[in-house]
Amino acid sequence: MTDREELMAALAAADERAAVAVALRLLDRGVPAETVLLDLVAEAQAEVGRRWQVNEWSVAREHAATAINERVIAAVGSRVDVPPTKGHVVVSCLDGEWHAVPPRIVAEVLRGRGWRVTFLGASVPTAHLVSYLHEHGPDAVALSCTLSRSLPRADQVVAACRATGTPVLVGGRGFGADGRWAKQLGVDSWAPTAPAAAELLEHPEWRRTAQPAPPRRADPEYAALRTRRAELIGAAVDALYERFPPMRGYDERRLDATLEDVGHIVDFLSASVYVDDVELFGEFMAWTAEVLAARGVPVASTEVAMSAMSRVLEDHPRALRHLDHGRQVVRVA
Amino acid sequence: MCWHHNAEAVTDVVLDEGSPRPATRVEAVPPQPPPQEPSTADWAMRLLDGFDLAIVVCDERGVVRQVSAEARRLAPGVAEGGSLADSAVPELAAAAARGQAAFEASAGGRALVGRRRQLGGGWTAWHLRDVTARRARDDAMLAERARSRFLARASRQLGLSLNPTRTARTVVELAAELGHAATVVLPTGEYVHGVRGATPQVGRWTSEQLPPALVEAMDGTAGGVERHHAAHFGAHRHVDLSRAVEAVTVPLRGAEAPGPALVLWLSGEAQAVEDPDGEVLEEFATRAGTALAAARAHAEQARTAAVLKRGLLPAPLPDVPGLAFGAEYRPATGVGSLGGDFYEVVPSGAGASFVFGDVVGTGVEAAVTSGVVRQALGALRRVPVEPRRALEVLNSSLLDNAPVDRRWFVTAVLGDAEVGVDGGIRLELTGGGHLSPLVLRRDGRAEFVKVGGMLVGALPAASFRTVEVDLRPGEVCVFYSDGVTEARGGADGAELFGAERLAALLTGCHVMPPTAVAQRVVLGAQEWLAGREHDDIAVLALRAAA
Ligand code: B12
Repeated sequence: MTDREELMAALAAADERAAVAVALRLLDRGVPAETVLLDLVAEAQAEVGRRWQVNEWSVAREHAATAINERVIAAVGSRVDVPPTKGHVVVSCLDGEWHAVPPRIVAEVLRGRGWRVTFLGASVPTAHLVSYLHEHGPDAVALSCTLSRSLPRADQVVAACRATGTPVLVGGRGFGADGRWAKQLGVDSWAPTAPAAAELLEHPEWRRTAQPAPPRRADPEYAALRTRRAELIGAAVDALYERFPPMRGYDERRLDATLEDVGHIVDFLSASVYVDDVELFGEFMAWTAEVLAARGVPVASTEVAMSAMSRVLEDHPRALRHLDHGRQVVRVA
Repeated sequence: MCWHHNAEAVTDVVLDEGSPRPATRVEAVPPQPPPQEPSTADWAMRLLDGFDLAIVVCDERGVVRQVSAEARRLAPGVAEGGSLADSAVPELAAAAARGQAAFEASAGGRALVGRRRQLGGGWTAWHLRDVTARRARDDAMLAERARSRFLARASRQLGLSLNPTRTARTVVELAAELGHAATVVLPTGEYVHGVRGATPQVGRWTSEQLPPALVEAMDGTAGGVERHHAAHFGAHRHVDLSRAVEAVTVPLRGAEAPGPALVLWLSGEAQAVEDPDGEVLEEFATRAGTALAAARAHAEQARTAAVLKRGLLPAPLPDVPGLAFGAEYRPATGVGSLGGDFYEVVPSGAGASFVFGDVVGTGVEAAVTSGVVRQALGALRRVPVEPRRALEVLNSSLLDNAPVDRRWFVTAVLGDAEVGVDGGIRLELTGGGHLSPLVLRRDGRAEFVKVGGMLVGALPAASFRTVEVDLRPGEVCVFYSDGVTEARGGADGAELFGAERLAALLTGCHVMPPTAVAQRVVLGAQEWLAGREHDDIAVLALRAAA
């Protein structure tokens, strides 16, 4: 068994002790902590996600494995004993963002490179983050965004952090594979990986006070999507009742789940319109189609939902373009 | 002084003033003058000299044919019958040699521009102009604009942070644009030093190390901007002052003395923002002083608040053999993270004692009440008293001590967890009207355990109940506040999340570590809320370590 397979087996069995032991053994063998975190733990986490996505693992099993992986990160981190000589970095998840594994890894990598790091945890309320920055005056703040639907929030939080004078670094797959949505939002401080972030922080301009973000122009289409969220969900659910017969037999829990899925479609659509790139919505719909297919739900149901939203948004040409793209994506899926 | 070469600027300058085209002027002279009058050429010359125009006319071979008086003054060396190569202005000579139509020259503090026009028949004319005064005006205006832009930017940047060190760093970064380097020294001896464009360093000077000039700037003895030889500051091993010639000290006055002071180190080289009479520095110092004072005042308040808050926030969960805990705490207000929900776990005997509860209300007031409740219960734990009795004492204490104009209502569960030999846990739960906890069984079911009891602090004769619950290894007991079950969401945003949804959310989750269980509850409620406001949310999960 390779180390990775061994870790996966421990995660599958929700065996924290065994999982931690695999990682610590590698450290004992002299493998650098950064390598263990990036090549073993991060890779295992992606595999955990894949197993859930293809319906091999239940949600609970996936959650258990993820939680144990977080303990592995903490255990590896506690073995790292590098004096903090470079300054103070605050690492945080956006409000509403519960993907804490990626920033935790980033935090440990930075710590291993001589930074004093405070990790504020999952879903940090923006007001709390801002008052933390005022109180502690760190050299920089690193924000992690895994869900693309959080991009409008990311934009707000970046502006709020810059308004404290703190330089902001962003990362995470939510910004798109090459960070293109960070660029789209005018955030020029995206880093693809934790080591890249560490290198960026070494540059002296990173130690300078941040300039306040320029005010963003209001986007009426995005605003409409936000204020009409409930109406859009309602229209989609009504259409599903009418044109997707299996739904009539759903129990309350499945109805809730459907409602939540439709809510996600609206939220990703809003984010897609916000960054003005149909690919964002397209990627999300492709993933949704895959998840539904793995669980035996006809993908056509999402087309019904999107068509209903298009009817509500007939006066919103940009939103329509995004929905059209989404429909096209699921049709080929 | 350097030599400018900028044909664009020349065009602007000439056309701006609508200057006459020499060629047209020459041709505009009447073609047939009466015989007794001067020749056309003479007329042209008188006109040019009358208007102080500097014109040099050359024929098709480049021989200078006419030079106005003003042209002779501006470009000495050019004479009728000679060539432009004789000009004492090398730019004119060079432009003529290269066939260029314009030149720009500045030397000895004077600026000169020239333009060539075709007169027809291969003849050309150069129009020269002295633009020294205009350039000086432009430069002064540009410098003025740079200064006001600097001050505007300074105000914007200084208004950002409420953190004293960050603000001091900002002051140093900005001040360094007025010189070679800058240092801000706080009355505590802490300093931030930065060379323009480089990373500022933070450190501390002992009071003996502080140069007297700085002490004077800080304690208010020095009036304002004072200039010193950098050498008077002695050698500092902390900061590299090798390039500094002059040190300018300025008090950064905010409120009372002693206050911070700024040292601006000048190297004699050009600065990013020129400030010859120190006006910008003085204005900047005023703004910097205000910002530093505001940051200091805020930091003091924040420190006080942090000390007060410490006792009101949930303490970290202890490590207890055989038990694993996980908790989440999301106050309604977010800011300051204070709320009315509370929990506390302390190791005891063969396991742990804990309390989980919710003070009716939100925000600081509810948090203060929850502090009172936790303290009372903590004290009661130290005397051997039954949990039910403890709730009775708390009940009468809340009834007696609540302010006259309001009531302090609390729902709470007191628990004792005893780890058995088989790794299972016996839970003794005493209820004061709190929501029924959920138990996650080994078969995946999530079942409610009714604890009951009455609201604490409402009625003098309230009664409380104790129940026992057994957890087998790997089973989990979850406590939650009504911020979870009363989260509003759904299709219309008005539906309550409710206990049933919570049970469904946790079905099968017994395999998860308790931290993940607690997170799942809050995540579930948040997704349901979809950004709407909520009450305080707290979750405590306890698992019999498998
Ligand atoms: C674990 C997981 C969860 C867990 C998270 C628990 C936890 N404690 O972290 C839970 C179950 C909570 C979860 C929930 C959801 N999830 Co999820 N989740 C994942 C999963 C499987 C793994 C994420 C992960 O940790 N990856 C491993 C890390 C190490 O890799 P990484 O993200 O690329 O991070 C690296 C770099 O990006 C970079 N980096 C990251 N952050 C930063 C920050 C800075 C500053 C820098 C410099 C670098 C940097 O460094 C990292 C380390 O190398 C992914 C799928 C996957 N395969 O990735 C889905 C995924 C992220 N989830 C997804 C979704 C949709 C959801 C839900 C909406 C699902 C639902 N229907 O409820 C919810 C939303 C929850 C919420 N509000 O946040 C989608 C997102 C789709 C999209 N396009 O945005 C994904 C991608 C699944 C997929 N295949 O499409 N999820």
